[in-house]
Amino acid sequence: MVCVMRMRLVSAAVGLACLLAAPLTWADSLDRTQQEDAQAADGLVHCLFPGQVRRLGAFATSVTPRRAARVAPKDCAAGGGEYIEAQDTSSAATKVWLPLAADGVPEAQATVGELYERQGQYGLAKAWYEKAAAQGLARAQFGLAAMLDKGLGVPRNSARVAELLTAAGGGAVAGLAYSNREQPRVAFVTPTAATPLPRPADGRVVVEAEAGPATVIARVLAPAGLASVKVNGQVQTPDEQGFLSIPVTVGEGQTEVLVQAQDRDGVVAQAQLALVQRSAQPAAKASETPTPVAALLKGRRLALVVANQAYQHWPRLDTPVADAQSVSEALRKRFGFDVTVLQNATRQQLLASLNRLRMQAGPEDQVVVYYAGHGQMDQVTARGYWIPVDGDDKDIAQWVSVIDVTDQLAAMQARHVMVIADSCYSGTLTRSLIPQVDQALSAAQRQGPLSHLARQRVRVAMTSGGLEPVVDGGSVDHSLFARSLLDMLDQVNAPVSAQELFQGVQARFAHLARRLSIAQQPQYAPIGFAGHEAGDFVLAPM
Amino acid sequence: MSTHRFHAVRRAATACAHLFAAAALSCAAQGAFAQNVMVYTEGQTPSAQDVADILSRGASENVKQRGLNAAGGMGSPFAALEQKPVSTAREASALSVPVQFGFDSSELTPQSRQQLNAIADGIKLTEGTVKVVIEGHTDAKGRPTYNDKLSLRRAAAVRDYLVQERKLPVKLLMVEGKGAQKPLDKADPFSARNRRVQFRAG
Repeated sequence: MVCVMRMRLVSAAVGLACLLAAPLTWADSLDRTQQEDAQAADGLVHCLFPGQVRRLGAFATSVTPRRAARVAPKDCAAGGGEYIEAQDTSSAATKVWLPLAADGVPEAQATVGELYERQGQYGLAKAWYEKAAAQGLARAQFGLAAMLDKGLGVPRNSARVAELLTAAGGGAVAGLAYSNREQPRVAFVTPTAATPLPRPADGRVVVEAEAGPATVIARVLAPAGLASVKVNGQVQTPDEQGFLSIPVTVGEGQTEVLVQAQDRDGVVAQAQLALVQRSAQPAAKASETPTPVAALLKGRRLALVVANQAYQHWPRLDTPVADAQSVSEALRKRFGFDVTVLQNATRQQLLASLNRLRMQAGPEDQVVVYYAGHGQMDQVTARGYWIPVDGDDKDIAQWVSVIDVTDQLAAMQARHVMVIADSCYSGTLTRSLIPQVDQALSAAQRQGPLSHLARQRVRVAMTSGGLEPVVDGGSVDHSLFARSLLDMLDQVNAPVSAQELFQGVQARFAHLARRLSIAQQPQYAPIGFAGHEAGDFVLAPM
Repeated sequence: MSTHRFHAVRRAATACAHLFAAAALSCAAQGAFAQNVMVYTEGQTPSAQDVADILSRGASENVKQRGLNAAGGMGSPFAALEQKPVSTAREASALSVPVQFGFDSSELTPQSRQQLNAIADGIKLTEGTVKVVIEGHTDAKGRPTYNDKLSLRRAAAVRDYLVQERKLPVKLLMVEGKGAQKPLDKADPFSARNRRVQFRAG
């Protein structure tokens, strides 16, 4: 009977303890995977497992401490654990973890910290994070850093943030830096071939082009304020978004374009492009030895690609399926991902696929979750939702909460998880919490920082916009974001951090969007409460 | 071949009928009642930048969103709008050129080629962010079915030129034959000004 009270009828029918005749026959008629899918749609719960009974011959009997975990309801039931059905009662969940946290279990302390932070009790959250961080738990060190970075209920402290982030990553590494203030950057956005990833150490790229007049477009970014920009030695003024159109004529020999920028702090950045006529001598490729991929990433690469297009109650979309197909192909062929494509998914299908992905992913594996479809922010709770293809236009209960997705990512064993959402994804933090790879490193020198990034537990999200609706089309076959992403994925010729990829996508997107007066801005950041520890997603071509 | 094109005309015509109701709705909401057309006369060559800006402006007014304030979902509202000639590129979301063909043929004159070359450069500048609809228009002389077919044939000839001679990807370009249904000069449906090829975002 206890079982019936705690679980929904479908689950109750599975449990052998509950021999209720009617639900049992109903359950028999259900396909087994359907049953599992139905359970997956329930999300994860905070489960308190009983301690184990240990016997020492006939002399002594003892019970080990109870253990708490975030698991699927049926796993909790199977282990004889107890949980409270409503997922969002954080105070109830706190009761599960608090005794263990008080006993000094660092994971429990970090979880209690997270639960308090979600409830807005920042003082308590900080206190528990501090305890777990002092025990060296990377997840807590990162959680605390994110709180101090935002200044949530505690004073902002950037020195302590940097210290905590470095500690979470296991110490400082040459060639990686955390910085709140970004360095000035110069990059070409058109032609795309002028932006190889990674960017060469000396910043010079040779590109083939048709003979005749052409326009090269560069973008200059100087967060500290721009002091001067020179193109081939001549002073130029970029537009308000930092774009420079540079007319060139491709002919005999090499046409050089050198863009130099200096910010108000006196820091200099530059990019150099040499255009050569196509069908002339093939451009001598810089034959630097690429970083051996196997050394960076040992696990499998799994991707779940979701495309929702044929909506029943929402306006139909034009490009998600085409976006998903092209992204899948790039992930499969160029980056060696084992891709599962889910088209026009219902709520249950989407959650079940995520659940299967969670069970499939091992501790060394890399996971990408791509979503293209309608998304919606609930303005009151500031929570994001993905809209299933059969989702109602008003009933939030039929949508997929981004929190449920985040919970799955947190429970996943995988080392690296990146959500790419061409829609909204709430609950992300700030990009400055991710370390940047020094742009001046040679291919050989990049090995150290990249393998450091690759070793960390990473939970990040790349989204096509902030919390506002994003554009569906914008390009002929694809959404503007998918198009920008595909353009840049195509340029990856050696392992790069996802932040490096993102910077390329961001510049490309801004360039394509400006003529269409689209104000949307792609974002990249760690996901909060998803178990992110340090490092960055590393993308390595096969 | 001819039956194939005939079907294309009918399809375009029914699409318009559907769009008319939809466009009326979205127009009422936006307060825009006409398609602003930048008219280039014979020998007047548009700049590639202007072409790219005009087509992009049309595309940006036509963009669909993922999320609740989705306004799109009805296809281009411009297909059914009235034509309003304007004289500055900054106001326009479509452009027209008086493409000249030899007598009763689809062979382009050198002046027309020059204008189309500039338009091709402008389309290239958009880097594939805009799908372009090439509309053929005639004056009111002749029977409507003949005019519809003729205008479609001429729009197709322009597309073929852009694809074969200017190397534009064919998937960027759609053609429609509007016949005499969308005159630039409403007062005089027989005016030569109404014979033109018009470009807009699709």
